[in-house]
Amino acid sequence: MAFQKLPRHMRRRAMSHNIKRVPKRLHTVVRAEIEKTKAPGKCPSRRHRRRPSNLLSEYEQRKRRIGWLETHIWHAKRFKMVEKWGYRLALHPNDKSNRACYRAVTNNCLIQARLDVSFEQYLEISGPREQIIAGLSHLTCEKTGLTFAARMTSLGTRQGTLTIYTYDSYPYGAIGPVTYLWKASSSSIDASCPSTIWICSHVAYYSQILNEVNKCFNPNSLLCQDDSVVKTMNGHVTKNPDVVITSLKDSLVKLRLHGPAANLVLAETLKPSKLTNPVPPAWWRNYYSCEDHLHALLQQTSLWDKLMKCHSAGEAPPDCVFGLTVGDPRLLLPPKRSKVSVKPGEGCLPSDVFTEQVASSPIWDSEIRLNVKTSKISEQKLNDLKSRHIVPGSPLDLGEKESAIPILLIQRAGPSPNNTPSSPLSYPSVRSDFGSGWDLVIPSGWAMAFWVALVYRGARVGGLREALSISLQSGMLHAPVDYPDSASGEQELKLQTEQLRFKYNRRPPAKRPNYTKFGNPSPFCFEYDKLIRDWAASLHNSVPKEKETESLTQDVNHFFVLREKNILRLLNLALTDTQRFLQTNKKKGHICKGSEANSEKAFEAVLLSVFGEDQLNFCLSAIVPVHLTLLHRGVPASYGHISIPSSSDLNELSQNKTFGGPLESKHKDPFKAKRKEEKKERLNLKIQEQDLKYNHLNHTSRPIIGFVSNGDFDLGQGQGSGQGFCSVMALLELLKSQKHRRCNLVLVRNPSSLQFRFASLSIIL
Amino acid sequence: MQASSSKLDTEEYTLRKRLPHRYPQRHNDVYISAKTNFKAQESKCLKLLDAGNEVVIHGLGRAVNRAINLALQLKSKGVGTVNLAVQTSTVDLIDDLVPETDDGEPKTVFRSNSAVHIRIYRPVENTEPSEKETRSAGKEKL
Repeated sequence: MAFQKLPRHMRRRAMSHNIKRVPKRLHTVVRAEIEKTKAPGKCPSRRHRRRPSNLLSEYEQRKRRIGWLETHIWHAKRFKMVEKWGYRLALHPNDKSNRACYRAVTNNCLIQARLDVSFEQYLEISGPREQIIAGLSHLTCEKTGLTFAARMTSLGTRQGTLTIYTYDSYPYGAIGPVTYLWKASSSSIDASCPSTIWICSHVAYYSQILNEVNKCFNPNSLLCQDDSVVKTMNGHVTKNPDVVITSLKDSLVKLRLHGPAANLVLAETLKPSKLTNPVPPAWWRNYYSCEDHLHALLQQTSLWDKLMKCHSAGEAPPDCVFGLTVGDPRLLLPPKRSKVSVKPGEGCLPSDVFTEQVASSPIWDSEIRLNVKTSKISEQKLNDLKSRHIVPGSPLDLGEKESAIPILLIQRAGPSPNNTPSSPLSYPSVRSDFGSGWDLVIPSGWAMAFWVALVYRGARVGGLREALSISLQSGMLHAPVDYPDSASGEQELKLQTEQLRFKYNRRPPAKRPNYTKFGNPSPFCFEYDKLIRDWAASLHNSVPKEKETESLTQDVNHFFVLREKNILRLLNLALTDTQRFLQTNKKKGHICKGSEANSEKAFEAVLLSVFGEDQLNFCLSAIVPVHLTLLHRGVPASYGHISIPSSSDLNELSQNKTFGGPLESKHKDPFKAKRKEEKKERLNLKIQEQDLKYNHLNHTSRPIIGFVSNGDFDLGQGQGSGQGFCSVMALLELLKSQKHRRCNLVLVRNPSSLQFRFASLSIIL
Repeated sequence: MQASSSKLDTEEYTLRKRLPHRYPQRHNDVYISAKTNFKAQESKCLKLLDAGNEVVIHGLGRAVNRAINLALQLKSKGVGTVNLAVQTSTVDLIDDLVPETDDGEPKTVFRSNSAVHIRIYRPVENTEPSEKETRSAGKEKL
């Protein structure tokens, strides 16, 4: 401020308050400065701020900085909110712990907001089917499983899931998992007939996918983006003679329900619309005048009646889709929040009822979606009507004014049998329906109406933390964190690393673990690149003069995650059931006699013949996601090490069944002396990032084969479990060292512990 | 009934078993699973038996053995005060075959599995339930 620069004898008390105390020649300057630093005008009173119109304008202002979900206000009152991917999202409920949410998933129902605008956004591509499939084939690889061309999903009766890569760059350049859905049509499927596909992706890589899809259909769009890409209200449309790409941002909302009671909650909430005859004809008069549509509606209603009687979503076919047109859920709201009760019902679902007709829905039509959004009767009006209702609490009958909302229900099966994280020593650890449920897709604008209706039926609400724990316990990968080879995953991990490092550096050295002494050179980040390089180098040294060396000398620089189904399946069999793997492959006649099969060379020959030399070389820089189940005690933590046990460890375990695991000896801190000197001289006390040279094979007493990415106590199993990534080369090494065992064991060590724990390993397919 | 998995090539299809249909559960219905600790199941049943003099345990497929074992254990622990009424039934199950290749069509396989429903009860002195009643109680379940 200007008056602070005055000489001491000219300063006066309270100059900043009273401008008259400032010398007159400075008045103009000071007045301008005060004007600049004035606090933003506060609203006169709380009552003024809480007036509906003022509150709304304040919300509008806050929304401008960061995206809000439609259910934001509801969540903000009850949840810990975090900023992620350009949105303000719910992390976890403030009132309930992890365990309560786990119970909701196993016994009850847990809902989670997954809105179009937040987590999962839709992208519509329409055009001749042949062209769409041909275009999108650049983004997928048939070795990783089903592609967009799969016949299972082509009718639109089932939703498909796949991993998308950047344009023609498989196996590198993964983007992330997406789900897709073809529009069901009653006419027969032709290669050239016009069809529509919705691709649903996580918001973290949505724009990346949009770019790649654009690249598929107009290769020169990068050159003349301004000409070909036209921004519309609904996102952007690429002008191409045949294929049209539309972003369905802000026009669809997705709610996700988990747990066995999801069926009952939905059955209470969704009642098929009466489809009355309003005076200005509503959208359904037009739509259901078509004979096909009306027939479909009847089928859908009868199916819904049957489905309501099932007590679990797991009884419906996996990934099945069906449409429904329902009435306003606000009208049937119970007066108080209650729990749904089980009603006696019987019968099982015949699978042939899920036809194309059942899957068709008016929600695919953008005009209808807009109509439904605009014709919604406002909350205020509804409350007014309710207050004038003769019998309070009884359902309101709006008659002609009631709107009909087209919705789409998509079944989500739990973990597939292959996917089930099973400790090979026992039966599959997870109930096969764990995490199964429904995805509810509704037009935007209606999220709050459905949300409150679901919550009033006793559904418990979870946030991001609950989503992560569900995917960990059901043995599924969680996008984008568990896709470390994708750009979005890498970014997410980098953010995590920064946060952890910041938290660590905030503490004084005596109050934080010295990771150097624990022998953990990278406690905050995953060094996959270095891991595969170290293993490739060790292989290079062990077989110096053979054919393989040629390929080995190729630079192994960057890792990728192996997603080829057949290799993963073989590897999984070899790891979880080594003897069966050996027997089946001996039968194939590749190998020598039985006595020889146990020797070192023969085993290598088996591996070589089964996987093939090309594929082994291909796998050199690959890592695979694994699921870990601890044998005895311990809970794995992120950034821990997965190592190969030595033969003495296994011997000790076989002699003593309760052997907890070996101990790592304490490492020496090579920078200790230097730090002491610095301390003496009272110089910079902060430790610098030390560039320690190490090798993953001999840094600790057991060679490191991978890292734990996520671990927690598994409430279903009552013991620790986790997920991680291992180098494929290292896993083959593990197989060689434990070929006599029934299943393979690894050691897991947490970053701030010297104790190794035994764990069994299975691959996440 | 593992036949369906061995017949089909695992390269082309994966087998997904759908859940059996779930019936409403009274407080004294106990569904036996092969995974749960036997001791825990036994103590649960004993507690229910002491509280209400009647427990109905259900076992499906692999859990049939276990259910019978449990019922007999409870009977022997009851030293003559506990009676059993056994009912067997057949449960229809559906398996989905999910194709692994683009050309595969999804299929469903129907199979049935045996189930056992054992009513364990302490006869009350005057109103000893006749056999007819036990049957009807068992039938209610399916």
